[in-house]
Amino acid sequence: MKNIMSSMFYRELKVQNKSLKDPLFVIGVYLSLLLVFPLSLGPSSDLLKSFSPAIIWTCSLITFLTAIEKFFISDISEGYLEQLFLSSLPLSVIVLIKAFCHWISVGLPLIILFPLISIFLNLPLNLLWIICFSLFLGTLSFSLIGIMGAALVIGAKKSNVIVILIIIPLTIPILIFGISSTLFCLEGLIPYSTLYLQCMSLSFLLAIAPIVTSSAIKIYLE
Amino acid sequence: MKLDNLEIVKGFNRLFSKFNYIFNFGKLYILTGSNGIGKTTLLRCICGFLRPESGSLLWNNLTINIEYNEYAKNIFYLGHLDSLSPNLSVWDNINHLSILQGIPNPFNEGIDLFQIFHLKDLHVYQLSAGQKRRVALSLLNLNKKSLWVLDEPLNSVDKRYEKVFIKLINDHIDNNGIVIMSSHDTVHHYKKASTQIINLDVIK
Repeated sequence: MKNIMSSMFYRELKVQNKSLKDPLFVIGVYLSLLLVFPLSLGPSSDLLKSFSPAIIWTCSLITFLTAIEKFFISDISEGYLEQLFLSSLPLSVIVLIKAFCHWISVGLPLIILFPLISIFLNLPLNLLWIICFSLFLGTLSFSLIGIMGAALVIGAKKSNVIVILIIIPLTIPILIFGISSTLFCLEGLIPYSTLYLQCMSLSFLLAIAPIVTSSAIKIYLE
Repeated sequence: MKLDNLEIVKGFNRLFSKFNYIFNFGKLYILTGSNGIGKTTLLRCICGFLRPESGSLLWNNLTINIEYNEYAKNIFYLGHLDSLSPNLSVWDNINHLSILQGIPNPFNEGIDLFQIFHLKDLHVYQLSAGQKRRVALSLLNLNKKSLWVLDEPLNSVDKRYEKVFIKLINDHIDNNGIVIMSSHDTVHHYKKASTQIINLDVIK
């Protein structure tokens, strides 16, 4: 069992990151989205500072939306989902492995990059690690929502448009909690309450995403 | 293995109704029939991907929808697609699929019936259709799962590897396994005594 899980993990990471290009693409998308805001809001640092939590979170959401296709697209064209279905590993575990690998290939680069970005956006550096932690909770939730959405539209035409329509409403609570914890951090407070709420939504998603995704995969295979 | 009163509906298409069949150990079953008659659908139903509208599938008197995990351990399925990821090397693919399905890795055992060893470091997208098929078929070697479900396994494979494949099938039947496969080919080389051809055009 352990053997299968580690083999799954290794394969997923390799499939989602075909080469060094893929994490660099993610970083590139994120940076170029971030660049739009200082340019469009002007150089006034007060405005930037009050908008920066919203900017950080919407940019990471959009970056995740561009990487949704990593989940299943290659698996469908290969007929690999059938093999997963027949394997002795439960589908829900497979779903969690896939979502975690997706977070490693999309979320982790953003968090590693974040200290650099906080300099761009003129953020105070003392509570940086808390913002990073709240980003960790939020991006992992994005991955779990993303895998649900991606599984629901497997095989549909124009799936990349439909998936955005499904995902964005689901991410709104996570955006709200994330943005408010970042706001508290900017004022120098430790945002216990919103971090708890973020943990709550993450654990809710951890419970529900494997069930939804595996039943969506079963429906697709029929 | 027994198919009991099976009724399979795909979309608005009633492909099978009141379909009964018994598959016995140590036999090869070849599904034939015209395009769109439901060969692939029947195979997918046998694997449990598709639930029958009514009726049941029994494996040693277990209903497979209930005891699915127990049943799935016995199946090796190879569909139209080779289930190889194009961006991984042949070695990584074979290694992963053999671990996933709990079957021996043909590379580790050093038996290279389909002559793919020299391809092992190439990425799968660099291979031709026939080479991919050979890589997928190499998982049949030393495979101890008792039910092989193969969907047109010999598509785009050279003649000389057909012989290897036929030998593997005959060995598997001798070891008391079941092979169910769909095929368009005429069927000369398999052991006649234990081969049954199921012509879906006639049955329906």
